[in-house]
Amino acid sequence: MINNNLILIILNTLISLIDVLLVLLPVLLSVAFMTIIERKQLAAHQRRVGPNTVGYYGILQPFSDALKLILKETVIPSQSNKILFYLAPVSTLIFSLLGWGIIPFGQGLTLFDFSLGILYTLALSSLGVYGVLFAGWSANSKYAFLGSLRSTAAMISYELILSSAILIVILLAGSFNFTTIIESQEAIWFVVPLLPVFIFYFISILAETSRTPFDLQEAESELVAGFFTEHSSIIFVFFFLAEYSSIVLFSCITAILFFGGYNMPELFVNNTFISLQAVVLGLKTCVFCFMFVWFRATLPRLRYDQLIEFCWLNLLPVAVAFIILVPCILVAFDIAPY
Amino acid sequence: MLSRHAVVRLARPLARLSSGSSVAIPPVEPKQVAPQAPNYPTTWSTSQAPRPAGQSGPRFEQTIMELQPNPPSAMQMVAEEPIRVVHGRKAVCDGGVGPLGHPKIFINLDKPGPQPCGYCGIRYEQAPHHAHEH
Amino acid sequence: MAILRQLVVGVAASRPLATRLATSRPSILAASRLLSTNSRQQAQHVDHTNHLHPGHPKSPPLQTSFPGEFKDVYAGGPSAIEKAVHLFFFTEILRGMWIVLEQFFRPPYTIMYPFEKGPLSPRFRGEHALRRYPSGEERCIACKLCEAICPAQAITIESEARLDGSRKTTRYDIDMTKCIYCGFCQEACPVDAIVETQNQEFSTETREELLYNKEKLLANGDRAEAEIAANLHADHVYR
Repeated sequence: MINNNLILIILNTLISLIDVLLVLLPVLLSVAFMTIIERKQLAAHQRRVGPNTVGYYGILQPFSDALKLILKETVIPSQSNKILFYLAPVSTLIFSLLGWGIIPFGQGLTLFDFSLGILYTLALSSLGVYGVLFAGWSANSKYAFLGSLRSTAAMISYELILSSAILIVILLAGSFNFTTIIESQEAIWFVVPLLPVFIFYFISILAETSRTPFDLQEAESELVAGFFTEHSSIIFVFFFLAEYSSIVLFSCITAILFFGGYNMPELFVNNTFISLQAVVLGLKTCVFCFMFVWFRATLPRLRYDQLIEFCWLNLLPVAVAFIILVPCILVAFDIAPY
Repeated sequence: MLSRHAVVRLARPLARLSSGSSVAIPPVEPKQVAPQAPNYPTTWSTSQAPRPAGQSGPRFEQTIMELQPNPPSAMQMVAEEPIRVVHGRKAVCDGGVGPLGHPKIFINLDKPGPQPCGYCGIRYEQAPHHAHEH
Repeated sequence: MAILRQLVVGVAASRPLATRLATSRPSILAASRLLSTNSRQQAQHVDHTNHLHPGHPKSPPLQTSFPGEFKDVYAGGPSAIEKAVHLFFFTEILRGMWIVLEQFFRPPYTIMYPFEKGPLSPRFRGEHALRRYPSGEERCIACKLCEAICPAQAITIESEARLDGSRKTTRYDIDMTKCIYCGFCQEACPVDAIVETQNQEFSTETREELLYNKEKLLANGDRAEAEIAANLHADHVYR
């Protein structure tokens, strides 16, 4: 009896592990290729050729980058807080990758069909700020510290806007569960009634992931490299992976929240002999990754005080206005989904 | 003890084998020379350094002289140039290609024999005219 | 014509004013009152149109403001709704992004260097060479003008009479690591002996190989003579 239970437990664990690997390995590959996609796409926007030597058209560039970074010497500053120095990038990567646990690749096809999925995502993005904070502080260097403080402040400021936008989507969808949100977009994608909300949601995502135009923290000419100045080699690889993983993750969440997720209206993708839902979600994620890089190619950087002012003085009133407006409309026309 | 003696006894003949001539100062090797140019064997100026052959001395140990630049001797090439015969006492020379030549100079041909142009080395000679009848 | 009329009218109007000012000295107040009434009574119609530079018939007339005139500078501009739309919907940012997106679909300008090379002009200054005449004689006559003008003092020349009596160099060294490739030697040479070819790819693995001597330079010249002659022919009218 005990043996049976034990076998069941072991099997369950194995299956969960395989599940997780089934999601994580493609995610890590996609994160790796996101780096080369960004470089090639930026190059295309700038009428030049990106890396094209390593594989065909430079496809193997991320692997050569990873190899180079791994073979570098890991320098730990002697006065740094060694535990936090190692912990910060590791925790940032973990929190970025944990966000993939509740993304639905089909109807209910997630690692964990969480009824509070949105809350989980927002909590993870808040916890991700810790990694940034620890990184800068543990490095025991003025510039890394300043960079991390700036990054932290920017991230928590724009989290407000992010939460407001997501809250409005939840008001329309009626549930925190991602699958329910996607199903409730059957009639029409939420981007159509909530276009202004999508606009400030996208801005807040750009700021959360520290992308242009909000990347003063990472710009090479300012503060060297921001909060990860002192981190080298493998530790830097973790930060790098965490950043691009959050880019891909937020693109995915954008597709889910505003653009119908794995559903394509009026198409029979769900009824073919293989379900193309995951492919549809992947394509939509690609579109938003494209938009991330497109924004980087177009826009100049915002100065840090402009960044903070933009959040608190310009976006926050708009967000609060929509938080008031949308429930009013829902109640007035009695179309609340619950 | 014994092994040390054996090593010492073996070391001497081994050393003698390896060094060849056991003289401290290596013998001076004569500097070997190669033909100075493909068309002229020796040097053509007084203090011109003769062209060394390959592996002649420590400086050219690894030099493959066949691959080093070896331009033909200009003196020989212009010596093979035909002498231009000019009617009159002076010859005009500007290198032949107008603006791409050398400054135009006039060469006095009174002295017997071909006179070279100072720039391009082409020799001019006065056409022999019949001696004065008187 | 109208200008003359205006001038005449102005002169005619100002003369009685001036005389009245001159005569009524003691009563300044009276004069000023008179001045003010005068200016109202003899008010001229101020023609705002500039007859010297008449504007395009469709454009609004050039307004020269006189004191006290109310002019609304925002009159012809965008309305509040237009400004709000531009503000909230990021109109110029979207326009910029569209331009960048257009560039995405256009071919890149990059040339793949070792396989494709950019164009070089005939005046390009690269590796040096010593030229010869068509007869084979070296052009260099050891005038040392190039050595004198070289800004980096990279040229070293020694000369003496050759066996056949002509003036030629025995040593002509250019230290290519000192050379700044300015082309002054090429410009200074009176017989076009030292020239710079178009070759820029002569990197070596040891520094000694870059200290060129006369043989190397002559060999360069022999090798590249056709190219050098063509470049000189293309460029000699400008030199």
